Amino acid sequence: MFKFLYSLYPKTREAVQDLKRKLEDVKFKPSLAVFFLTEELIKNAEKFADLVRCNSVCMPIEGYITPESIWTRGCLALLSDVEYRLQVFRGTPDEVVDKMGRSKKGKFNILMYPLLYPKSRLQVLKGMIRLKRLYGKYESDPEYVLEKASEIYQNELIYPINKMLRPFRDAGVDAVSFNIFPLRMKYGHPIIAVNGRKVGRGVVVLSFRERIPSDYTDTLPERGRNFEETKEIIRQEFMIGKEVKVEKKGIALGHIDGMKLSEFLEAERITLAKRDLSSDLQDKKFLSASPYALYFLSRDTMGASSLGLLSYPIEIYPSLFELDVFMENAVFFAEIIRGGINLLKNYFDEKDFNFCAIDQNMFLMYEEKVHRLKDFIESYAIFTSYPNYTTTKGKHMMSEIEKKIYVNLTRTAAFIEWI
Amino acid sequence: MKEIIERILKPVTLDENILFVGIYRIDGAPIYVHFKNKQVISLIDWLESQVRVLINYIASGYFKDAEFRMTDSHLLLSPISKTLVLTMLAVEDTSIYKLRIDVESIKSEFEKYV
Repeated sequence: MFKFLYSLYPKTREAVQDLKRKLEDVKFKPSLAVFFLTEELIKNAEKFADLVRCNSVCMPIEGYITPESIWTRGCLALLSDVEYRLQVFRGTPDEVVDKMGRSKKGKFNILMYPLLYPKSRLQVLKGMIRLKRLYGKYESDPEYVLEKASEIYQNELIYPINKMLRPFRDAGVDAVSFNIFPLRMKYGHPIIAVNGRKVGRGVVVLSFRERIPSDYTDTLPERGRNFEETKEIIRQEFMIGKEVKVEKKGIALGHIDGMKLSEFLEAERITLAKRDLSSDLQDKKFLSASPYALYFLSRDTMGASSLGLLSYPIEIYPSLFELDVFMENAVFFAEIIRGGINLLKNYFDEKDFNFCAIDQNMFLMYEEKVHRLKDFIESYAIFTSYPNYTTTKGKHMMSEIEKKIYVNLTRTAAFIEWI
Repeated sequence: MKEIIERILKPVTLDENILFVGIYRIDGAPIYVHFKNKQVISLIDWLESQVRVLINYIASGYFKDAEFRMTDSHLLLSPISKTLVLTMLAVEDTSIYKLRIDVESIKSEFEKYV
């Protein structure tokens, strides 16, 4: 059995009291509680954990949908008596992937982890200095520099999405990845908590014994049969659509068309950020979204995945997924959804699930028009950073960048049918 | 009626970043105001005249809603019926795109009663 509860209140005390009242009406004994908490509430995750006598996981969200409306304040809670295993894996991406590979998995799994975790200003400044010094050797040995930069980014900051999904794909099970990257970031965030305790940089895995029905959409047309077709589909879907040559390794992106990212963006007449990255993270002014991005084309599948380009003057840019499976040619584009929010209807209409997770970028794309989603989403839903997926079922999607691994950093949605 | 308004507006009145929430009648008279500090009182007077003008523009189909960007705050005016306008003053750092989404939800809550 399962039940959703929600509270619209943005203050912990009121939200907890409200949920406490609503919990009295729950007729079954939950074995698991997942609290999806908006901005202010996540800081007090332990107060929500205290509400239940079972394991709990708290994760941050940007907003949620109830059968009545859409809200960006308050919280949504899922209570279930399902059989599951809760595990937390800490370490670098290689260590975590190794541990997850050896761990027992469910037929259906949910991963929750900070996609990017800037622990402190000191850590970020140290990393930036190391990368700057490393970049000094770029002209003479770009391959070495990119490899080392990728190591720095992975060991200090980023869990690449496709890498995190591989142990589940290899085990032949379904998994939804909540790769959390809030729209406004700051040091020590995003916060994920297990039983009220903050996890920090680590991966929380919920493994369900039964196969809980799930699905995914990237809200894009199917990929082409060859690179030219895929490129043409991308060009049709977005603005600009300029083909560029990229230098990359691991999760490090070096020169684009022979230029540093900042020089490339300037050449494309895109204004660079005037503030520096470490100050923006300090003041919570770091916006994790950008209308400009690169579409990388997968050698493995002819699929494609996009990486937003934030206009900070960084010499070696970090990717949020591993780039080794992609071609050296990418497509630079500006995000635009032709047909507006109604275009999404086709992708959501055929999905009949009682819960979905939708890309938070929809907020920025459609602002208050996002309410039209209610015309075709009747279930509960959360807005989070572009959920990604692996499944045993074959799907000919644009975002299948490795066999059975579906990753994109915009417009994705995952669906779950709680039982 | 006051209890209903208070209940519907509670998600925003509890928010520390929202300094003022008011509901104005078509003639500019406030029927509900909630504010967190006295500095916004002068704004309430100014709003009366603004709401009168806004309602005219909305009635004639020129405006759907209105927003004013002040030095350190952001003011949103949005009709919740043909005769009532919801106003909110948010501090500069508030995510305005998120607030607009919540305003739509509040409006649909009010529609059940007006």
